[in-house]
Parts: sequence; C-alpha cells; structure tokens
Amino acid sequence: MTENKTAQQAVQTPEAPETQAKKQGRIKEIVLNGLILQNPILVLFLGMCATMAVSTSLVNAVGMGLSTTAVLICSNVVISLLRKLIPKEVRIACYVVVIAAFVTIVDLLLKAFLPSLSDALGIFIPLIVVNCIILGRAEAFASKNGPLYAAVDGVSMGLGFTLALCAMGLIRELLGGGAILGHQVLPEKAILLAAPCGGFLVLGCLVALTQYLKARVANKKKGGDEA
Amino acid sequence: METAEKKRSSGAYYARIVGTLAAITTIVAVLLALVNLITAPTIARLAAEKKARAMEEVMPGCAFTPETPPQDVDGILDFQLAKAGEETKGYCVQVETNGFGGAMQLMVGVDAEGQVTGVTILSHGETLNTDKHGELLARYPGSSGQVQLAKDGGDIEAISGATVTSRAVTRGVNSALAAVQAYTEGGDRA
Repeated sequence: MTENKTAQQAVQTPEAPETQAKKQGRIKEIVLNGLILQNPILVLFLGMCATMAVSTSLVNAVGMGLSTTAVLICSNVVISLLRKLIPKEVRIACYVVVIAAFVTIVDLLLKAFLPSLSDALGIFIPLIVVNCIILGRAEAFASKNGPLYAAVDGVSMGLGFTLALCAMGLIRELLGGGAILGHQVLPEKAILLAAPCGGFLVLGCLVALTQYLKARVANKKKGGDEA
Repeated sequence: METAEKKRSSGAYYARIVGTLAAITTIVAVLLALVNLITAPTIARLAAEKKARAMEEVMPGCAFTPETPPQDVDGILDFQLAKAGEETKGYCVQVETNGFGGAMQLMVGVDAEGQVTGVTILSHGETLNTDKHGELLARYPGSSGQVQLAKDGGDIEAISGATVTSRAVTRGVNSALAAVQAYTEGGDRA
C-alpha cells in the first residue's frame, strides 16, 4: 500500500521497500510541503476565491480552514484507497463525486450542529466543492500515493491553508476593522484592507514574506552542504 | 497502442468505467441519505426557531396566528397575523425571492398601516458579506406601497457591488406589501 512509484513530487521515490527512517523522512517532507514549501495559498495560489471572501475575520478563517481540512483529509484518504480501482478516463468525475459527498456532509453537519458558523460562512461551505486545493491534491498527490501519505498530505495541506487564512484574517480584521475576534482594539480602521483589494494586498505581503523565508532557509542549507 | 485499441473497443472496458462510476455514486447517495436522516430533524428545528426569532424581531411582542396567504401574489410561503391582545398590530410575511445565488427567503413585517417594520433573511445563497446584509435590510423599514431601488427610480439605495441581491430583497418586500394589501382589501374573511 505504501509504494509510490509514480509520485511526481520533488521527492526521490525509493525503488526498494521503504525503511522506517525513509518513511519518517517522507512524512516530514510532506508536512513541511503542506505548511510552508508548497503552501496551497502562499505558494501554489490555489483556492483564491474562498481565500479573499472569508479571510475578512479570524473566526471565519478558522471555520473555513478547518472545514476545508476535514474535507481534504477524507477525500485524500478515500481517493488514495480507490486509486487502483478508478479507471483513469473517469478519474476526475469520480474525484468530484467523492469530494462533493464530503462537502455536503460537512455542510449538513455544520447546519445542524454549528448553525452560527454555517450562517457566517454561508455559500462558501458548499463552494468548497470547487476549491481547487481539494481536486488539486486528489489529482497531484492522493491518486499517486498510499492512504497514510495521503492522510498526512491532507492534514498538512489543510493546516497550511488554515494558517495562511488565519494570518490573512488576523491582519485584515485588525487593520481593516480595528478588532481581534470581534473585540475592538484599535480606534482607527483602514477599510481598504477589509475590501477585496485589501485582501490581495495582504496576500501579496504574505507571499513575499514566505518567499523571503524560503530563500533564507535554502541559502543556509546550500552553505551548510558545501561546507 | 494496439492492445489499448483492443481494450477500448471491448465491452468489459466500458462495463468497468460505467460500473465504477455507478458504484461510487450509489455508495455516495446512500451515505448522504444517512447523514441527511440524522441532520434533517435538527436543521428543521433550527429553521423553525430562526423563523420564530425573525417574526419576533420584525413584529416585537405580538402573538402570531397563521392565515391563508392571498392567492394572487407569488412567492408567499407563510402569512401570519400579528396581534397584541385583541388589536391587530400587523402581519409577518415569509416570502421567497430569487437572489444572486438562487432562492432567498425573507421575513417581512408590515404594520396595520401598510408600513414595513422590518426585514430579515431566513435563508440565502448570496455571496454578500453577512454585515452587508444587515446594512441593506435596515433601509426598508418605514417604506410602504411599492418600494424601488434608487437606480430604478425609487428611494432605496442599493449596496454597491450587490445590485442583484438588493433587487431581490426589494422584490421580496414588494411581494409582502402586495400580499398585505390584498389581504386587507379582501375584507374581513372569517
């Protein structure tokens, strides 16, 4: 189940059965990829529509992030389990059905048990179906890797999405609305940041920051290897 | 290539594709039916509570009795008489209108003089921010007869960037006003 001959990640895929150490190294790599190196918002630029719409406040960002994470983990695992059964000609149709099923389940559960969050997120929960992070990970990762790796990828990509959303939500709520979690803390507000264009500005700054950090880490690593 | 061609023309190949899709959709349908079975009662209860809260909000402190909605107005889902003691204070009308993201349900309160007392949203599929909804809804109370957006020649300012939603709410309020008018003009129906 853990063979991954077709993995097209930047990872070297071992031909021989994996040792425990290699497995751990790979999991660590997947986690780092999801959180920073291949962060769905800050590096891959996936799911921008939902990002702009719900990152106006921290609560919405957390709700949206975790709902997406739940769907992503479930769809990744199921698609990974089914990857050998699904004929490749109809794989996208199968993925969409599986993803839509999980989104509907999350939507119904939120409506029944967390109605206030469901009201706040509104149409953006059903729209997780078309969030390209989910289909993107299904196609690029889950369909080529075993369920364990797929689950880890779902968790790390989901949390990477959530963290980036939260960072944007925090900045936009604080500077655009002068509040944190609904409590007013700043007397002045820059309404521009709460507007969609402000979302792009905040995103741009965060992307620049990510690239800066990535470059610094890469430089350090290079220096270390040569030394 | 040759084997692929052969494979493609064989019945087993199509059977596999159709079979896989059919199996996945069937399993998904059963799963969703189960989840729906579990959540439907709770969702229905929450919707009823929301409706009760909405009626209290647009017609505070009244007792409500359901009435048959006038037949000649479209989109009226529920028509309730709001009474304080023996005096009829007004009406709560639940209307359905078509917004940017499909059907939208509103609760409109109209007083005995035919003036809008309040509008709340019961359900919607709009992409408009929730705070903006409040801003829009606050522009309707006090109006009567026929309401219209400023850009359509009336006096209600639309929310910029949400003209379709603003128009939808306006249509809903108009239906409610028309229903109340039809009801009061229909005389004392016992």
